[in-house]
Amino acid sequence: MIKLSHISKTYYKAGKAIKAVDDVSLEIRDGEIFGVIGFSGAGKSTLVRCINMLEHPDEGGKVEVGGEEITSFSESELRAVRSKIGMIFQHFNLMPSRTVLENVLYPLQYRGIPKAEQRRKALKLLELVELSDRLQNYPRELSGGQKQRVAIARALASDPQVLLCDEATSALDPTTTLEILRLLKKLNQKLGLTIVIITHQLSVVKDICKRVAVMEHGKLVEQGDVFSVFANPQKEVTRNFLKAATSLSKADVLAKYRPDLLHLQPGEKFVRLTYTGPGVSEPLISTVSNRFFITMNILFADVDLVDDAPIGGTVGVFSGEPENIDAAIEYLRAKQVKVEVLAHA
Amino acid sequence: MLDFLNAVIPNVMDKPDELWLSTCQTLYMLAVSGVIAFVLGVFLGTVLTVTAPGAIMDNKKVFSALGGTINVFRSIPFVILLAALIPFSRFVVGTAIGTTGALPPLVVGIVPFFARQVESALSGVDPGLVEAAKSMGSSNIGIIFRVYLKESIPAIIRVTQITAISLIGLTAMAGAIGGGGLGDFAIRYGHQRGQTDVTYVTVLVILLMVGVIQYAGNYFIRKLSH
Repeated sequence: MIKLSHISKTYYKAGKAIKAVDDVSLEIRDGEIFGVIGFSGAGKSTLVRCINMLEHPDEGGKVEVGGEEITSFSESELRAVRSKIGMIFQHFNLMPSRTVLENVLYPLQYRGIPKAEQRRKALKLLELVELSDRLQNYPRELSGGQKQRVAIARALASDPQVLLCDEATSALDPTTTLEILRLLKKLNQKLGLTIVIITHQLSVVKDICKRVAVMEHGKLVEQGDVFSVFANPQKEVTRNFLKAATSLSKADVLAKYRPDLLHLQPGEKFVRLTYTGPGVSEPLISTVSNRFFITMNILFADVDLVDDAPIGGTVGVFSGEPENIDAAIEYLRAKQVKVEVLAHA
Repeated sequence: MLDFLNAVIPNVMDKPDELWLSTCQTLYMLAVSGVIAFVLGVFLGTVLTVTAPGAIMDNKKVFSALGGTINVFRSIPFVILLAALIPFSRFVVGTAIGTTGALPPLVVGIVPFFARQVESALSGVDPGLVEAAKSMGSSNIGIIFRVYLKESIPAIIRVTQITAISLIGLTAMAGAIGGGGLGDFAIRYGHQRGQTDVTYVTVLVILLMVGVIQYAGNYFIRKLSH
């Protein structure tokens, strides 16, 4: 288990104190995939570096890894801890002058492991990440996804219990991102590896994380199961992530900049319905139109699976008698559908 | 052929032994001071890199003291350094004159330049590599040898090439303290006795040395870059 208690990290730049991380406490369970999401500058990269003490948290913060409180460890003790915590990076950080095989051998060398054993292990790991045919290639000859797979093999060479992923898929295209996420999931299941994922991509968290923490301005603003956090976001920043990730946010742009495109007639309302509960499987729209004698012209809809539960919404124009529209909105709200009226004529 | 050379470069054909001796002296100065300066320069350049603010062994005192000293020595013109270091040379190599006496000022003259060059070569190492090495539990010494130096080999060869060529220039001045070498040879005959052909031949020999350094350096850079 990883336990962070009251972690802060202050930098001093030109005499000014900047709090990159501000009193963050969280627990990551053994064998889970935990996500930390935040926009850039939220402090999530600094936070993850406190887990392997690449960054020393301010006085008072405590880091526990596998039952050991490592905050008070000496540099040499920390080196031993770090070799048990693998880490991968956005820009892979492979050694350009070493081949794929040599990169994976790096953490195994100078540790009293016999040469043959080092090699056997490196080959096994490269087989696990499906790069056995690339042993003698140099990093610059590989694609981004291949580089990240070498980095994963390298990070696993010292048999870590934990793998920290710092924006590990941010430099990759969507298909390669999926491929890397699948690999991480496989490692999580096969090796029981605890994985901590730092990202600004909601899709990454949705795809593989069990639990998530949302960070903003150095603070942890929300945390919990991925579904409950994103199905029922409490904080603006969390909602922003959701909006940015779904096409439903296009409705705002439309309402704000091109209302003329909607051709709203008097009495009509431009609305966005967001489903946050199990109601998504009920035929709500046809129910309200039958019941309240209104019509909904659906402009677009987006429903996504988060942690295997549906989440999403519909954007459209309600037309009918004003009282009926209001009654329909009330009805939908009672059914746990969030209704936002974005524009009306 | 011989007649032709006798006609074109009579003053050189007069004293081939001296030309040969001067060439050997230059190569001797270059080799001995070069090897010593290489070791010292790589060491000091590495110290500068790792003690810089925010680097793995961040140490303001060492960094600024070393940086300041290097800047002072870099600003002393070499001819003055030759004279100023006479007591130092006597202390270190037992003599202040001759080819051997020229070695200490050559080393002192080239090391600050080379240390700065090494520093800039090492600064080309991606900080991400250092962080990755740290995350894998590498020690500072491990990071210096396995990341900084190992990953900068082509860059270090390149700056060594540049420095070696500058060092040839410095050896030519060693004649000022009776150091011998090609520079001395060219000044004594070519300049002072007006034997212009001696000057030209000297230039050709030096050009050949520079060419060899360039070629060898480029060969290794090509071979070791990935």
